[in-house]
Amino acid sequence: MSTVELSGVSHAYGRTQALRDVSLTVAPGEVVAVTGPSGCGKSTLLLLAAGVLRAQSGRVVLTGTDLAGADEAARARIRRRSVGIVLQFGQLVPDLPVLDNVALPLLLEGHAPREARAAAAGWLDRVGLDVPPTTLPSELSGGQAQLAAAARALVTGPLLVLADEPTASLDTATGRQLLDLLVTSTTAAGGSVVLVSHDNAVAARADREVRLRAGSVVHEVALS
Amino acid sequence: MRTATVWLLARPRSAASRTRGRLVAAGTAVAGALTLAGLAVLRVPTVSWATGPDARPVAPDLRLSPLVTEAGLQPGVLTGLGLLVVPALALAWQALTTGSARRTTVLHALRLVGATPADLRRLAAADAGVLGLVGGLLAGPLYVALWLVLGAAVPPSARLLPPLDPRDVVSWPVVAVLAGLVAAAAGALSTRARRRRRVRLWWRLAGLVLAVVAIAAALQTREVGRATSVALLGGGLLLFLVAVLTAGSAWVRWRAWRLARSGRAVDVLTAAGLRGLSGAGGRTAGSVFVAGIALGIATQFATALLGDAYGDATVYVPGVALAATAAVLAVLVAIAAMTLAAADDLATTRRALASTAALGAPPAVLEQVQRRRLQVVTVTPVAAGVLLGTAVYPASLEGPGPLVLATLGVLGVAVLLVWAACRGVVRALRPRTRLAADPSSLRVA
Repeated sequence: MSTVELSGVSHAYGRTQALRDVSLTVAPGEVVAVTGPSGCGKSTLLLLAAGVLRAQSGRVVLTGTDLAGADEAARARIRRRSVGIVLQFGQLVPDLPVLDNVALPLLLEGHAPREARAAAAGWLDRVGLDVPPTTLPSELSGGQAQLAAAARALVTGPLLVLADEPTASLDTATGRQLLDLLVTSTTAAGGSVVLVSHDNAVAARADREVRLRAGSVVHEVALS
Repeated sequence: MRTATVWLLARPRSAASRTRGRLVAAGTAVAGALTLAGLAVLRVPTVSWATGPDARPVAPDLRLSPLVTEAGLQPGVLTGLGLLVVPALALAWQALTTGSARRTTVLHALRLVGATPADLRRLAAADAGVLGLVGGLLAGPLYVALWLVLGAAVPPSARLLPPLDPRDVVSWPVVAVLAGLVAAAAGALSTRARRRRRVRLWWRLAGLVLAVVAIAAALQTREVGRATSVALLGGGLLLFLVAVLTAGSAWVRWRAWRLARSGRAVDVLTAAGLRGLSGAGGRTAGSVFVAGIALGIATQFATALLGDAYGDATVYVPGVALAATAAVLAVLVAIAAMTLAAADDLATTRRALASTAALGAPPAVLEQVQRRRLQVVTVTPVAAGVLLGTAVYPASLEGPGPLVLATLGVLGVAVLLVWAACRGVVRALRPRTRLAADPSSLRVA
């Protein structure tokens, strides 16, 4: 069973067609890089795979569940249990301290706050974010917010990590370390990673590269 | 999700959240106190001066104002109290949903990590429910203060509220619990994605016409009974309020469009801000407009009373004073709510503001933009409201001279006060504006 499978998916924002008839299958343990110019639909692909957006046509199957038949609550539960998302600007909850932001998926799942915070502190340590736990997202730099978002994505041990430009705000060394952590910690447990990036170094970390242009897959190649 | 987690996530943490919470509680407290006042007035038996075979003479309660003891006047007081509840609740709702950009960010971030719609509703209901309950509990002491002003501190013939009664003690917790439940429901409702459906201009005009017809019918019809009179007047005024409040955002967007066309930097930036806050701005403009109408009506009655048009003026003074105080309070709370929205907007868009500052917009220009934005949604509406209020309800006057003078005086004072309030608000927000425009904001996520 594939971790995520998109078949003939199309999506538009008003009159702007973001994706046209895109198909993509990600196998367990696989790392896929999605590349392409700005506005080609990479982020939309990611949000559709996560079930944040509902495909207007086509089919998305996430960890065995067809998202077309799942309501918003069901999609949220699947996302909470099986998916970790890292977006370009972190997308942290503004009023929550960084520790609680990272612990959030566990708290929503019903874990005890102490247990969730302990796990969050461990992941903050592993991504190398050295700030007081009470720091608010508004006090973090863009790079620090991205590290916190990565810790939040990994805290549940997800089957699928979706990362949109995960190293865009980081220096080369920190970016490489974060990428290693995202890939190794997920694939070691049989999970998959989808990386969206302009950066060739990031794409080179993948097993396969899928290139998009104007909302369509124009090139797909296996990387060694 | 555990209760501890609900509280952890719902608890207000930032200064803006705490201010927002205070405003929700204050709005609910005012609405609760006015509801208690309405319930107290409902207990007062009325006398009717109607003649005919069915007329039954009842001895009036001489310890209270005829405004609440006369069958023809009590519905007006009840309607007035009821309608003051509406803006109070509207402002509580505005405080609850204020800072739409920030709320969208929070909701999006929570959805991203797997919060279900039910989780979001539970969080918002817990937050708003607690604030509503606090407001409902504060309604009791606030009602006692209202009773002291409108009941105990004035001569018997001017009292609007009856003596305190054990039934008030029973009503208070009921109102408090109801306030909490209503606020929780409103909180849960606020998390739902709104489907923006444009209301056609014809429908808005039809609503306004219907409202005016209902109000006129209620004012002209004398013998329909208290319940029908309250329903007609209340329904008409409620419809009018809704029509005005919904028209507010359309007016704000139109003003933003006009400003954007001018091409001046300050106007263009003001227009951008107004478009972003057209909902909050529209509600503020609508509330201030209605407050202006109340001020206008109070001006007209005060002029008539001072001109001896109604004989013994002291009987009606509390009613006029109540209307004027409510109007001023409504203006102040509307400005407070708009300020909160602006402060939240500053916190949410500080990267954009810092970029604007980095492009060469000095702090004075950024403050000017904020001031302009507040003045656009308050000064013209309050002036229009005062003018409409003095024209809408013709009082008996010997000649128009004193009314014109009084209207011009009140209009000048109202515009000046609102204008000064906007300046004061921007001055109070100065530290936040400077912080938001600081280059360090460029590095935040």
